[in-house]
Amino acid sequence: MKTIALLIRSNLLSRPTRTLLTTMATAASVCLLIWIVSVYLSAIRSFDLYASRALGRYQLIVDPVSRKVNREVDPQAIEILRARDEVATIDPMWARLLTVRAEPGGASIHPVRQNSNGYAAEEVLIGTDAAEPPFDLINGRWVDGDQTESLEVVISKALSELLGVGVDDGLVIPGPTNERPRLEIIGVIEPPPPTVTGAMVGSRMLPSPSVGGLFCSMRDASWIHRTKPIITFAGVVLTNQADVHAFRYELMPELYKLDNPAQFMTDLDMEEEMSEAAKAGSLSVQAYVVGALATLMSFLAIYSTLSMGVNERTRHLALLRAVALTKQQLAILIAGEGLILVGLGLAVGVPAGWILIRIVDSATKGLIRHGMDVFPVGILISIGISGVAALLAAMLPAWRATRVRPLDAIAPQNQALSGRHNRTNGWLVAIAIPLLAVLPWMSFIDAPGPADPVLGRLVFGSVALVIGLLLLTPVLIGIVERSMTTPLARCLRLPPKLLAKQLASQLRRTTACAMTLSVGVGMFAGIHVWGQSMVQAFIPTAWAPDTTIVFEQPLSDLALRQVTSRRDEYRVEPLIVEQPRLRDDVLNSAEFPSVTRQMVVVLAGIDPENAFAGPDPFIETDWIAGTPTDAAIRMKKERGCVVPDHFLMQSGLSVGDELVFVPPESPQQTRRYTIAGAVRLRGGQWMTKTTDMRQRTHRSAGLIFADYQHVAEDFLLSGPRHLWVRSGGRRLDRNRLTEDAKSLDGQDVARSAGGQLDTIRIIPTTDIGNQIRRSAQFWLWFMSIVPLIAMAISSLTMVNMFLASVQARQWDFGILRSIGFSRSVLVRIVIAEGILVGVIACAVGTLFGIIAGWSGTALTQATSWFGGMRIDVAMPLTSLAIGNGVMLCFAAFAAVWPALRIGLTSPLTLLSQGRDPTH
Amino acid sequence: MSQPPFEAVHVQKSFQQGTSQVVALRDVSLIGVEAEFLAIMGASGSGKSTLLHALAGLTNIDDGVVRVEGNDLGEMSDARLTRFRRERIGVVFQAFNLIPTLNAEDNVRLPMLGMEGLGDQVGALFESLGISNRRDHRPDALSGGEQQRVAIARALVSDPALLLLDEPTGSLDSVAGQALCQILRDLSTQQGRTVVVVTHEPAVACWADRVVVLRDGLLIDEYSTAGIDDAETLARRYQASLQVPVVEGRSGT
Repeated sequence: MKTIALLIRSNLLSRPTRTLLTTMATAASVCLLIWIVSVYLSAIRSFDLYASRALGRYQLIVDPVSRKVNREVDPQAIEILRARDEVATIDPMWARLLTVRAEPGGASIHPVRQNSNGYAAEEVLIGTDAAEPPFDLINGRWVDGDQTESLEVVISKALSELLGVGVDDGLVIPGPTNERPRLEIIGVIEPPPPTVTGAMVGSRMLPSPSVGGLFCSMRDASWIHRTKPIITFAGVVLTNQADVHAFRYELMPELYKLDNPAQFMTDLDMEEEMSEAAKAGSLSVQAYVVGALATLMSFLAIYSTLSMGVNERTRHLALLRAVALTKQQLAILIAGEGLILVGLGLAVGVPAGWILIRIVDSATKGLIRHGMDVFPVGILISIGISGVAALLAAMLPAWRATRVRPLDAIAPQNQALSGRHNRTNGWLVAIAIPLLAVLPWMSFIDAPGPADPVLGRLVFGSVALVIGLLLLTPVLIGIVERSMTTPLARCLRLPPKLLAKQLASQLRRTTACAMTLSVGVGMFAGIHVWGQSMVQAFIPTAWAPDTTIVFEQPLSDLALRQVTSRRDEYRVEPLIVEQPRLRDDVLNSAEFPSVTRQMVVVLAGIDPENAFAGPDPFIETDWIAGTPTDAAIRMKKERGCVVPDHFLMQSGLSVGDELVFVPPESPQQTRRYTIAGAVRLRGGQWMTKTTDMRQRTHRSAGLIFADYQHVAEDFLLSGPRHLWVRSGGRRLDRNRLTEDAKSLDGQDVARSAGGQLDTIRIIPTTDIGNQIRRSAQFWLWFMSIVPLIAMAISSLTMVNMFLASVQARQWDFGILRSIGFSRSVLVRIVIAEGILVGVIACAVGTLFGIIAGWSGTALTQATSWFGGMRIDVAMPLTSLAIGNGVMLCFAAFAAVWPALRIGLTSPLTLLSQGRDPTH
Repeated sequence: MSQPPFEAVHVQKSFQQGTSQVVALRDVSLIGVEAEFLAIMGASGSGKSTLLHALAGLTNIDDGVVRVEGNDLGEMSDARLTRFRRERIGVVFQAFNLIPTLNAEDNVRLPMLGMEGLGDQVGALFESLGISNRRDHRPDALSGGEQQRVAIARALVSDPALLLLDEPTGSLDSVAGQALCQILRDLSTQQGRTVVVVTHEPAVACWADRVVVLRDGLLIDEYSTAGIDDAETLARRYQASLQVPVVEGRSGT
């Protein structure tokens, strides 16, 4: 071992630049690994910290066992518990989402803050008649269930900060009802700050008072929601003498026996449930992806260094075999070098990761509100993963080292040439193309269902894709050399023949270099192709109006007639909108909820003739089922409705089938509508979300059109709050539109609230698209940080490879210098090679990104919350150009140092060192 | 009865070169004598280096037996052969003998680095080879002759019975080459080591006790150098050997 240790030490010290660059690349990877492991563990810890405070003053929560929608605690459970001596208090609670808006211009004593949703926030309103607040009251007083003068609410500190409101301020509930309630804020309490996954556990709300943003009495909650209260969960305080565990296990069988079985939950159960929830799962997937990427970068950095070392030291390894070492000892030598390199990377990367996390934690307190730390276990995981990566990276070089024969010590150095590569290119392409098709096949042709496991497909398909690209890379190298060498040589004023075949003659090294560089650009392209394609599904297209005008209150008949009279200036269609529940779970939302699999829809009443029929319909779109004319007739005569394409596809229903809606205001009187057609409404989901059509809940399975009059009658709606406007190609004058809208609003004398002119919202559809794009761009570029870091790390590896490459060709460069080529020519040759390698990496990476991103859109449909919408692949050319441009810059810069190193060496030195390139 | 330092018995070796098979050694037999300085001569491609490599266990032979101190090299596992070579056989190549990242002393110690107490021995080797002032130098700071002396020192550090050298003077000037030959002669005469040198230079071979000549893989002649006083005489003798018609299956003694 002493011999091996000496050889490792001497080899690493003999190439300090290479050791340093590899250490930097490995350290950066370790840093990234520690970062993601720490973020993940901090997030998991936040579940623990959150759960430990989530119950507030309660020791137990009574929670219904059923996971179905609208589940509730059996009132009998409450009675059973109330009868027990051990129970000091039991407080039933009703948790339901509610959108509230800070009342602008009210009696606010705080500056009212406009957040990203305007002044509105969607929060959980908890109705409870508890005598004491569940958490510390930091301002004001707790709700008094007996007072009846006004609607009083206590709000959470987080909501107070979000909306900039406090005690004595008011909140309003936007909605269609004429009696718009105003909620008086009487107190502020402090629940634990939310975790990264918020109050939701999968598709359901965590059963604890900590999810509440607003608290009021049961009576007021019932009035606000206009429905009979239910008990979502109940908090239990036991007497001091009671043993929580004994009590829990004694009562559990009894609660299970009820018609609607209930269970107890403790803070530990909450933590477990949060950890296992889908969002936590998603967090762990993100951690795995970034962790895998960091490991891959570390692997590639070490692999390339060891592989180059074996290539260059064939003679020395052979000599060692001849005079001292066995095959196994050579393998240990190479593996040892890998471990030392990763050790150096850890020595630098671990402190760097710790410093990074400290800086990020202090700079962005909101990232993980329970604080972010470097955990010893995180460091151990990073060390373990890095060590395994180093050993894996050493495997192939070590195996190649053992294949070195003692007689190679005196054999002539291998001259890598590619005469046979041309012959094998055809075979490579023939094998590569089917491999490239595996992932798209598994995503589209053999698409997974909602219950099918996707991870296995993703891993298998991605591995096939990478192998396919690896096989294709030599072909791409040939193509890039043939097509780009001459123009690039001309740009850099080099004789083209000096560049020709340089990359192909070092095929293995060029392939390794290109594949290493392509990791970052591949991920970058994948993120942007996937992200932009997903985003497109949310952006309303030509079917949507140019502008939506939203009124706080329904327009009167008088105003509506005035709207009709203005149709020759703008084309205006009034919409009467309700958000009814589907009586039957036709979309199977209980089993697999998603953005389009819900129990609630947005039902928009519109004039069918104007909307769909005639030569110039207001809503012009593709019809998937039915015809516009027939649909308009059926909407008018038979209570027909037009559904979006994804609704029809996911429900399995067809034209002529019936949908039964439950009106929110009169739940007993269900309404039946017949599907008259299905249309493509790309972006319809976001359209309804941002134009206040989802008045009752933020969930909606889709936008369904029906006849205006039928909707108004069936759902007891007095008038439209939405006007859809088309300008017929003319530029809309927003000011004039606002004035027109205000005049409508002003003439609406029948309204009780009246006069809130500044609450009219003019929402151009392009603004919706732009907002989505801006938001998506932010997140896509945020997600792109990791690929950009990967590009930077891989460029360090490229510097290493290029240094080795120019070193191996010192003799050739010496000859070029001796026959009259200048230093500048040598420098330009090496930089040109860097650019060519960058181009190959861009080609490989972009191909990977497009295939993976495109397939990802299909796999997302099967697994994620965003599943269900029709998604067409989008090519984000600007983003791809930026990603590829960054990669090319990295590649060119990576070649500068090796270029200068060769350029600055004298011809004689090049020739003398070139005789034995290992020097 | 003591074993000979080495013996090659009916050794056959062929290589695949492109699509054709090249026979490097044809039924060669050769027995070493203790403390003898033996020179193997022949033109390029005659098989002389292959024979040396076979004696060192660096290449597997197709047929026949190679024994060193009575140990059949063909019977040994790779690991055992490596250990045996490290301890009992010293090998020196024409060039690229040294690990460039190690200094001269570490290169010399390389085969025995796991062992303690070599200080005096290594020092004595450097002293005897006239390179004691070069112990800390890296190979790239040494002349060709000095590099070869370091390589010989490394070959001797384990005190082997058999020292095999493949064209050791091939990359040296004549003065350095003759100095090296003197060292080899002394190793044989004064230290009683068996030294086998592959060479095509009569000026080297004339330092030997015995010369064997190979042509096209056949051992065609062998003779004592007793009475041959200079390189010129030996060159004539060597040329005469090459004129002798080939007799298949001839083996040395």
